[in-house]
Amino acid sequence: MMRSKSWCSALVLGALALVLPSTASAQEYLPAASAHVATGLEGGGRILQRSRTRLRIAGELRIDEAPENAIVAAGIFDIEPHSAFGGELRYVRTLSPLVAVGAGGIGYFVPALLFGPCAGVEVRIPILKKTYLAVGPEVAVFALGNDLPDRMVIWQALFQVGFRVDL
Amino acid sequence: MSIFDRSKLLVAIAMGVAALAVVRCAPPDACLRISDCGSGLTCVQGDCVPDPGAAGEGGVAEGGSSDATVTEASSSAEASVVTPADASVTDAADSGDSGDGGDGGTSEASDASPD
Repeated sequence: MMRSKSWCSALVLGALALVLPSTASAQEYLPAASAHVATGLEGGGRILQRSRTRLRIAGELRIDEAPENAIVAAGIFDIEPHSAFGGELRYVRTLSPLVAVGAGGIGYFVPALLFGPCAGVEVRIPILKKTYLAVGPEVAVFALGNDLPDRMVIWQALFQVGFRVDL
Repeated sequence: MSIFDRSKLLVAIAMGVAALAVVRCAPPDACLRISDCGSGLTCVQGDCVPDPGAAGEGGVAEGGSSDATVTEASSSAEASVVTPADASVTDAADSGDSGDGGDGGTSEASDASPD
């Protein structure tokens, strides 16, 4: 009888520990979303041409303890002259309220595979309270994937224009 | 919104318009990815040429009517890999003449370029 009571007490205490808020302040997530259109130049080997036009829809997550650091995941949609779909994952560091830099990896999955590193700078111009016009250069290099011609690495230098909203 | 902010906004809009102008005026014409070319073709030095692998699998051995029949690079080494069964393709490639239309396989020369 005593043993079952101690088990019940332990269960209740455990449940309370899980349910009740702790005295330490909890981390708060600071999400944001953005949408950009980008174009520019791309090349490989001796080829240099205007790049595909790209639509990028991204979600960003920061925590209040280190709001200058963010992880951004994005969907990449090439819309012309050829269509393709891919994704991007990058670390972004905010240097000032107006400027952020980031680097990570980008990949295309449809119609074929392309992977490589990417980096960019973003200038955020406040428009509304939580809305920014976000512009800046982007570079990417595609060195892996079955969509690459033999012995060729594709690079892109893009300029993107879009909006960013703190959620 | 201050005048300074407005000027920055105008600069950004101008850059966006410039980017749109580039998009409208200068479409890319060379392939850079294999997927820029049609089926049975691959991208070599910016040109779509018959894919040796696809040719080996019968990708262009359809009576010479495939998109892979004629390209500007047909006389290159890639064209020589086309299967013997597709003799018309090889003949067209060797002649380097895409205008005679003798075997019917040369009438789609424009299809070999990137879409």
